[in-house]
Amino acid sequence: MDYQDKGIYAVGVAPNNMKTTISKNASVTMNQEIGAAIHATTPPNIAATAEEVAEAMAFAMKNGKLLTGSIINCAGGQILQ
Amino acid sequence: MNQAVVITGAATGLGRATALKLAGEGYRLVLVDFNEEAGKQTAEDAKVLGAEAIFVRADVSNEEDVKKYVEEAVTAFGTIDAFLNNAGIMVPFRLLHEYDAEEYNRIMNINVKGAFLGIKYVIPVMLENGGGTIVNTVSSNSFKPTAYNGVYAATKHALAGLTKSIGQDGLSG
Repeated sequence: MDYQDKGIYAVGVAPNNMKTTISKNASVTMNQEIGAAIHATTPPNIAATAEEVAEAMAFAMKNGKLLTGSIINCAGGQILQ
Repeated sequence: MNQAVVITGAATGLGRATALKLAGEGYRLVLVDFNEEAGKQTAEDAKVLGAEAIFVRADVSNEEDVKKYVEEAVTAFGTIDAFLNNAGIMVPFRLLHEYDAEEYNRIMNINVKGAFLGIKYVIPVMLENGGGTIVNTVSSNSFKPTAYNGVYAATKHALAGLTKSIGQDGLSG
């Protein structure tokens, strides 16, 4: 038995408040203070509201067959990947 | 008949916002949370928007509680068309060696075991009723972990892996 043949689909939704993770490119030695500052201020910092993530949750729920096995990465009302 | 949706972590945040969005679209809702007062409030607010909604208090990491919310969903609405597996916790950022084992277990139990148990008990209902969709709330930490957030990142990697695996059952033949 497999789940798809039985009409069961699984999708992940990843709320994300940053389009990029600058720490991977930063030419500094990371420490806790720098890490916290990057997390707080890295542009473009698109804070996703709960309502915006809810849009992605509903989208995933309604399109389970199409999206099964995928992770929707979303921020600020946009689906990033 | 409108679809029946179970949402865990429905008292606050993403779970509450999703519950209220779906309430406005006419879904029938089973709202699950450990926080009884806030969970009941979400159910009341969903009803004001026109939805049929019930609240079930549950600790998602407790197997008996999970069985209970699944049973109550079936009792109330006859089936589960969608399961929004959303409950999860995060703790303040810190270095990994500063976590104690008890805290590690608590995060793992809610974020990973809780998600697993929900799927485990929802799938038989879906199998019996012609299918359904499971949506797991993962995280940007499933792809790009932030510093000082090791245990949470581990839980969200686990949940992303679980989602990709069960979501692809059948694709590979």
